[in-house]
Amino acid sequence: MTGTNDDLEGVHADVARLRAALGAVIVGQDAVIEEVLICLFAGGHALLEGAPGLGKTLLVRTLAEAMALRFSRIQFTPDLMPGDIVGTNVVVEDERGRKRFELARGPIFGQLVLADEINRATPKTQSALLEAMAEQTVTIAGTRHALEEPFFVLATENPIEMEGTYPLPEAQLDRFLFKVLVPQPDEDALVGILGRTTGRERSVAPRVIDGPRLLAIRARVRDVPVAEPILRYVARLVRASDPSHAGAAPTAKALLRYGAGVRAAQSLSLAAKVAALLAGRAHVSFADVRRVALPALRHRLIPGFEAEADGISTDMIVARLLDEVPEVPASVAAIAG
Amino acid sequence: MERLGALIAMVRRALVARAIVRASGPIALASGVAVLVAAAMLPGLARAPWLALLVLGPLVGIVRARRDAPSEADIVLHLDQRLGAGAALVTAWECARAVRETPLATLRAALAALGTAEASEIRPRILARSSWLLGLAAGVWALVFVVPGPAPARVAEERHVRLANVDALRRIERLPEEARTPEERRSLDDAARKARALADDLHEGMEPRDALDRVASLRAQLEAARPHETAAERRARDAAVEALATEPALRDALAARDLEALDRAVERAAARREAADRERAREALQAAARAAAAAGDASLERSLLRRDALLERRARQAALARELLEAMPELRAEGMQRALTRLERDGEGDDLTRETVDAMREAWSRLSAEERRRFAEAVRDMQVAQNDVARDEAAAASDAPLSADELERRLREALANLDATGAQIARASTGAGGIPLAQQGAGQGNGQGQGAGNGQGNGQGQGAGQGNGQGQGNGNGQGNGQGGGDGPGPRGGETRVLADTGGPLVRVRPLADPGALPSSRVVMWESPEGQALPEGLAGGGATGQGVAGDVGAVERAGVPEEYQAQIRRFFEAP
Repeated sequence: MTGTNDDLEGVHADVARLRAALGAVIVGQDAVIEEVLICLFAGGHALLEGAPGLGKTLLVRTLAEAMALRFSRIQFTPDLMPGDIVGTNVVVEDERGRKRFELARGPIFGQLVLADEINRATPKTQSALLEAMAEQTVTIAGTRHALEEPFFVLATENPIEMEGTYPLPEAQLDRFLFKVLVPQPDEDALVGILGRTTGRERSVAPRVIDGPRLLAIRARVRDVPVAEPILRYVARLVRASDPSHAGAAPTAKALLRYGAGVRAAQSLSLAAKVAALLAGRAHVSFADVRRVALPALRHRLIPGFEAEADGISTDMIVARLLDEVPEVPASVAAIAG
Repeated sequence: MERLGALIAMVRRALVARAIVRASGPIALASGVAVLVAAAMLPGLARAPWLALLVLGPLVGIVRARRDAPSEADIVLHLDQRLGAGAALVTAWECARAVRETPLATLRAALAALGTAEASEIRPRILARSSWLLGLAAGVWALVFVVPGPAPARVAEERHVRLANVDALRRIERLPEEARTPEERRSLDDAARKARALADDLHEGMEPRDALDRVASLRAQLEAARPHETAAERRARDAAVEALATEPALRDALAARDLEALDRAVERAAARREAADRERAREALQAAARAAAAAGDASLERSLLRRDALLERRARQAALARELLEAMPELRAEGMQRALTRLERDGEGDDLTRETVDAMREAWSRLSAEERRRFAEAVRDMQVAQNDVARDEAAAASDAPLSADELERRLREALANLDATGAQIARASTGAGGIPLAQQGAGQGNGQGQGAGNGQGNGQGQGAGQGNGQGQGNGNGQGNGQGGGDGPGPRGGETRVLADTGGPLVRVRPLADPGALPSSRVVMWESPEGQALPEGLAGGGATGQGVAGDVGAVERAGVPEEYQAQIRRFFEAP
């Protein structure tokens, strides 16, 4: 058995600098920042849910500043049209007076896109993000346009004002790697926010990494080895969440209407790799899977009537699933006796 | 990573050991119980070869271990978990298997985990919760060798028991002779039969359990036959015993409920009193004789001294007769007691001597119990006083006392005669023959009115000695075959002349000629004192004749009352 000395330490150092840059602007929210970074390095998209004023937009903007990525923001409203997102061909007249169509690119053509209050747009408009998020391309007037790498969508939801909103369909939710819950800051964090935001000086995040480095890190993430027992654990966990499956966990059978799918397993594995890297390890452990299970699964599980009637959130259901599904199979547990 | 290979091998060995332990417990226990049951049911079964069953457990365990052996990946994952390697070990192991480069950090983490591995931490637990079965199985197997079993040969020997000495059972066979009531006799007879059968079986050999059961049954039957005293009986006996405080022998016999001993004690007590009275009478006689001598009346003195001598002789004879009677208890009967009483009261002779009594005792003891019983019954039926027989025999033979051998011979002859008589009676009763009456008549012609008995005596060759026995005039009156045939002749055997009075006391003879059949209605009365013929009887003179068909002739004949019943029975015989 031989070992290879890769740039694990370099990745770890970049991540540390990025965290420090974000921490210079964002007060608290370490868990949110880490989950967002996992999505960023995994090449996935994140859905942030939290009350207004918790720094969601600031987090995304700061992240763009720290990584020197082109930032764009889309404020979703009910009258927002898909063209407003992806852009459209407009008639332009040159110096000689001739008219021609010219593509007016929408905000989706940024590298770090903030889809603010995404649930306020109509499903038709929301679906305009599907192609971009899944394939990182957009089609305008029959012409397909590739989006520039790295492409990262951060959508936000306001869970308070549900009137006049259009909940994201399951298919669209599944496109998000994580659903990150932005909690209210505690007292210390709030004091820090007040201190930083009410003074004359404005905190600016330094640029620590750029787009190519981010892509390199993403590639490195893909090289993180995952042992078969861990992959099987991921598979058992996902299958256990499917109430239609014979081997479903009791919690899933009792409380879920729909469980996680293949994308959930992919998200778990990929996010676990990033989590391992962020933890300074070159391999994935069971703890990494458990660490990312909550943000990766909470938006992919559809609670049933029982859970909604009893006020059981998907976070609670995921926690129960983690308890019910053993990390090692029965054959290995039998060895211990 | 060689360390990883060693740890994997160690885990595999531990898993095999655990499978052996887990399989051995139940199998050893089950086989142990089976062998234990077999050992209990088949005591002669050899135990050691069954130890081979203990190999079954390890074999099954090995088979199960191979069948359920975990994959190497599972073992590595087990080690990873136990060592807390955070999947570094399993990741490095998979990279090595896939011939893929292992991240250096992962490799370091794996090696670090292996470096700190302790065998005790990663070795799978060998003893399971069910391992207590092994201890239980060990105990059961120990019992297999502890439970004793008799050797087969010994078992065969003990299946039959054979006893030659069964004296206790033989004593049970004799118990009916001591029965006091018919019920007790029946019960003891049954017990005697069972004891005899058991003794025979024991002699031939039988199963111990059967023998014990039968002995227990026999014991229960004997216990049931034993008379049980009620509380009232016990109180009555205690009161009687207390009342007999002055007579220790009577008291002891009564306390022991031994009626025979009580009879003997009563007789002895009565004899003591009579002896004392007799002594006082003798003292009075001697005093009177001395007074008569002092007064100068020599005749009266001699008469008194003669009475004194007579009393002394009677006492001696009575003592000897009593001793003889105690030596021959089978002859105890009312008639014998009366004869003894008369002997003490009226006896005169010196027929009974010490030698005679000793010889009779010796001769009597030589007879078997059955012979004694038969003889006693015959004597009782004939109502012949034993002292008369002994005295007459002694007188007829010689003045010297008979020896024991001679007495034994005579007793056996008498028994033989009884047998012959019985056979004749049997023939007579069946019509095949009978006692020849003509012969009886001839005998009677020689004898008295009791001639029927005399006739038998002649027929049996009893001899003259028995004819003298009629001199008593009492037992002879029965004529039960003991009478002699050579009486005084046609006038019949006279009763013996009473001492000091002279002449016969009474004579009774049939009216008819000698040889004629006796009849209760034809009697002849002759009084030696010249007593007149009773009224209603024909004839006169010294030998008056009765009237044929006269009823109550015996009562009117002046026959002493104590003899009337005997004479009446004689003449009423067909």
